[in-house]
Amino acid sequence: MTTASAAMPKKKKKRLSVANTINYVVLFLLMFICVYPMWYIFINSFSTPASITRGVFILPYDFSTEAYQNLGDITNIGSSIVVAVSRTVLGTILTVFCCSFCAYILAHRYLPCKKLFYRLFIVTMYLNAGFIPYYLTVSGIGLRNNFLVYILPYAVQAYFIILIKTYIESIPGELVESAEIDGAGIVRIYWQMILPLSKPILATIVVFAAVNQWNTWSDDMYFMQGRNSANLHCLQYLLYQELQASSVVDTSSAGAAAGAGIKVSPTSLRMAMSFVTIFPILCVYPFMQRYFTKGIMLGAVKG
Amino acid sequence: MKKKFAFKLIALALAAATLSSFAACSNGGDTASTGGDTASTGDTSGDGSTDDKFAERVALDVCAFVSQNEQDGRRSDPISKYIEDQLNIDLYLTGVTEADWPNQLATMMAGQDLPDIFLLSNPTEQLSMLLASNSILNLSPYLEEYAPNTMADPGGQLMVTANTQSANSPDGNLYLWGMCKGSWDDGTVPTCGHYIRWDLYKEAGYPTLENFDEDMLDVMEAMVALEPETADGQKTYGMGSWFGAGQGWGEWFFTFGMAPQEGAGLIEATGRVLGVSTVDSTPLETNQLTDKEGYFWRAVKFANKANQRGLFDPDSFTMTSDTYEENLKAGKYMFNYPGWMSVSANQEFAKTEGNEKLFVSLPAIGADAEERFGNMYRGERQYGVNGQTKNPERCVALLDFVSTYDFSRIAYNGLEGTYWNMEDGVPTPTDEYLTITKDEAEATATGVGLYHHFMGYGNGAIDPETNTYMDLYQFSDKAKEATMNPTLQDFIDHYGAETQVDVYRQETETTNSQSFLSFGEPDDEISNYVNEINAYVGTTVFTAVAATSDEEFQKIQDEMITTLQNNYHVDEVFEYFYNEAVAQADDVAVLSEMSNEMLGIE
Amino acid sequence: MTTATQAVKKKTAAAGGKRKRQITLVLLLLPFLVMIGIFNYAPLFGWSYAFVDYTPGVSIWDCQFVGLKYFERIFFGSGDFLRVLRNTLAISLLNILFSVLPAIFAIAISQVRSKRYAKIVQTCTSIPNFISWVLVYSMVYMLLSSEASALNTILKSLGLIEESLSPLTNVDHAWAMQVGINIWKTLGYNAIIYLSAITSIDQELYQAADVDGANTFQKIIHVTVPGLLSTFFVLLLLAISNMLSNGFDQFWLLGNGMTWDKLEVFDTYVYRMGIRNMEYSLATAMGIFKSIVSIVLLSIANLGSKKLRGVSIF
Repeated sequence: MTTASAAMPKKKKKRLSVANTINYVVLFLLMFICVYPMWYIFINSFSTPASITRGVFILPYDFSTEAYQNLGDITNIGSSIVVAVSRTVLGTILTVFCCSFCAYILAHRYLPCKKLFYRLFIVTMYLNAGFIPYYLTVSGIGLRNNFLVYILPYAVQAYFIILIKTYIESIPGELVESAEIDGAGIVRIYWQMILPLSKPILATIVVFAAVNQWNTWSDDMYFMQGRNSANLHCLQYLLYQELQASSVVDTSSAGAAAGAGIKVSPTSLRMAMSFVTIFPILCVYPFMQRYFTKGIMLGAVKG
Repeated sequence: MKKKFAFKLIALALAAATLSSFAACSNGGDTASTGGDTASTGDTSGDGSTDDKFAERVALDVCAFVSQNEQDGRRSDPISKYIEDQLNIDLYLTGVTEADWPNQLATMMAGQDLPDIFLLSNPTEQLSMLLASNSILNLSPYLEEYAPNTMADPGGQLMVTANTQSANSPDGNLYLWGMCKGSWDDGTVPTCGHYIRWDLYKEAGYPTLENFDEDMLDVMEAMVALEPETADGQKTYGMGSWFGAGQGWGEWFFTFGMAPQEGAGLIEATGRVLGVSTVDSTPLETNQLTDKEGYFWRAVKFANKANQRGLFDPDSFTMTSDTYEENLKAGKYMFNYPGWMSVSANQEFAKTEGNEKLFVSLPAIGADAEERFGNMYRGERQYGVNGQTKNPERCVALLDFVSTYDFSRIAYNGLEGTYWNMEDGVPTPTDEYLTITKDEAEATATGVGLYHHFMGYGNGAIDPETNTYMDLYQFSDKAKEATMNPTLQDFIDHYGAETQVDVYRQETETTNSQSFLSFGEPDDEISNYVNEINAYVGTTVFTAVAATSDEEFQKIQDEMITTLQNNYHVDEVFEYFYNEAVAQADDVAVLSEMSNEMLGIE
Repeated sequence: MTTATQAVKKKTAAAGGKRKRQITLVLLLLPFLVMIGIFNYAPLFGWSYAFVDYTPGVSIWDCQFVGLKYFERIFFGSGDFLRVLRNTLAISLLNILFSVLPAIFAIAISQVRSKRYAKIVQTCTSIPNFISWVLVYSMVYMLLSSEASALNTILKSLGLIEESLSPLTNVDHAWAMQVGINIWKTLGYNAIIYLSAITSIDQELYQAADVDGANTFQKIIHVTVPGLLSTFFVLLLLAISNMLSNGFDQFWLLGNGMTWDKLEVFDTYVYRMGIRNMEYSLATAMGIFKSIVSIVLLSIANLGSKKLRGVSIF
């Protein structure tokens, strides 16, 4: 795109600068309403609960690190970070690999009963059996208190397959055909041609899958239980539990308040947690981004 | 190069995945062998002395409503060690929350993965499910031998009797084990009360306060006039609530805002159509959801009137409870229902030097009864033992052990010698204890507060042996001395009493909770109706509070009542529960007698 | 697998090559079929719970068979079903109407000449997606709705309003408010898919347009937009099939007693009636209903796409 506009004659460039300026300004405003909340979370996570309810909009005026101290006190937070990072990295790699390979096969023109197979995958998006049968199935194959429960169930996801397949189908067919004539096999074409060509969409899937993995904790709650679950819990679940503990005060009687009196309010704790969990995403994000904002010269590949 | 790197990465990932699955498999192996061990223990433990009975060390899995801080449940705090040593067990104690436990429990029931001892977050419904799947143990045969403390304790006997009555057991056997018996407070900070800023009431010259529905509004107005702004410049209101985000706590505010303070309880299990007198456990004659003069509608009307007079914080409709609590602490409201929030507001006020601000719970206004001195005769939380457990005896022994007065005191205050000592046979807190913050770090280090809902008695229960409250941090004489302030003294003097507790005893005829009714699972249709009534009332009643005139309020009220009668079968539900309540009269009489004997009431 | 591919390689030109290739493809797909079989299809045995009075832990054969009782309860149990359906569909339709925004946004970003600026905009606008709904609620409350909110403070100090605005309790604009918040939250993140689709457009097409003397706007209309259409239609079809699911958290947390009439949607209804009361059979019946409606909607939309555009997508 950029190359296209750079190639424009100078005259036109001038004429369009008004539209361009508007574009810049609108984007800037959009950016502001999206960034400000992050700033809001940041300053509020460093404020006392009392000042939060009064409104902290620009800078914290009642500085407090209490919420972060609370997070730091969580037992076993170290091992939970290791688990969270492992499930994110391994889970994402597996998901991207499985989904792209499925999408490639499903898009392959020689696949028999193509529609049927594709639909078998698509329908899974709408099938929800409820958590009890799901629990029975998954623990039935021995995934209870097993790290694999974090990654295996998410390996094949119809939504990602659809996105990748749509993308693969936009790759000119001649490319693949010429490779076939050169004698490349199915797996080799996938590896040497499809994967590199689909980098933009794969980068997108990496972001989607990684964010999902990073944020999921309900599987932890159901499948990691009791005495064999040491060092298998992930960060988000521990944070969730901490939050629950701080709202015990709310949901129970006065006795609980006196007994388990955690003095940080759920809101300020939440702010701190969000900041802690969103920050890593925003750090890794730009590295993926360069793939989906940069065009790939199909012509160059052809040549 | 790049491709190779990617390939290596994937290979590495797969290797790691395989490895971790192996690791998990070996874990599984461990479980199996532990299971085997415990099984043999179950067989060998027979008759003999206590030491003999518990000779073999076994592992018990427990899911309870306690602090969550160890991943696999094995705790390192001194109280847990103390339990383990006393009972010769390895205790794997997982903390669960009321919000998530119902679904976790359901999956465990379905998968037959239940722990040895577990919480029933909704005993009425869960007990019948557990019985149907054979997953809950009949505790009766074990009581004599393995629960000696409970069987010798009047409070324990009361709990066992109540839980073997027909409402709580289909066949007269004991399935539910009640914890947190007695009271959650000493009578001065009831869970739901009418708390007002006594300092401002005093400043206003003690205006007339003979009835709740009208006078209280005038009093709030007078107080707001005296303090129109908080210390940091926020506008003050007479009262507020928290109906935001998922309807907040729904109709909690109206269920508990009025009835207990006038000697009645609206039973939530009945969709609050049925009210029960806390004086003698008789059901009220009218359907509370259709009776405009009933407790529920009076509470709604009160909030609406406050709203019409500008005394009700308009943010109430959108805020959540934690925001409300912060507002309360900032001094934004003059009047409040929840006791624990009043306590935390008072703590916040007390941080200021020479503070006189104070929320004090008023005695019943214009009524001759109130539910002030709590009496959780069945226990506030119910636990069950897995029907398939390998160690039923040890489970009962554990339940019995934590149900004693002694353990409850330890659960609140730590082991003897840490924060309290026996002085002349009276447990006395150390000076240091009264200054600590009870938080999670404290629970991990000393175990204080960790077992908050897995112990026999509530913090306001009195140990008959030492005549002291369980919670020395809040209710010991020393603690009370420390929190006394001029405003509280003024309150006591105003009523011409010796202590705060005396005020309530002398001002109101009946202050003890005497409500001994509980309901088993109703038949299918009724329980559907109850769910639907709850959903309807919990989402619609707020529009009545927001009404801008009495006519509009009337209109909404009439509409709701008609809808409830026509679409939601309220009358049918009321009749069902009313008859159930009447049928329990004999059971109630038994419990009432036991309770009176225990508390020394004539 | 490798021997198979080698075999295929050798016989590419041969007549039997196609058949072999087909078999290989199916074999390669098999492991993934097994995976969805285990994780997606196997749990469906649980659909049987909807037809009995299910109790966890009790074998399905020992549960009382009740036929369609629970389905009847969804539709006729309380008088709310029609209202819930109305809200659900209205909000979904509004969301679908605005689902073109991420595509426009992606095009706008792609027109930015400074690459760094484009990247920053893109990163920043995806932030709201990561903020949980609970926090979105507290922010809406503190920034827009409460008496002391930023909005009310500013407007009051400018003398524009006397009474505080409370958008969270405004039942008339409840749908608009929720749709607006949803756009804010998902715009940047959903644009990612379109951004990657834009990169797949053949640059030669732009060069050809340049040769024809097209300006930027014309290039967008004639090259970029057609290049995004297939992605757009895929997402549109998915959105149509998901009409009954507009998410639980948003409406549960941002809704309240005053706006319930407009904001009770199917997902909150399922929670209120089924899961919260441990009515697993009812919750399952609702799940089945949703699955069937989704699949039917998808089929209809797919058929429509075939009729109108000549291409069926799925």
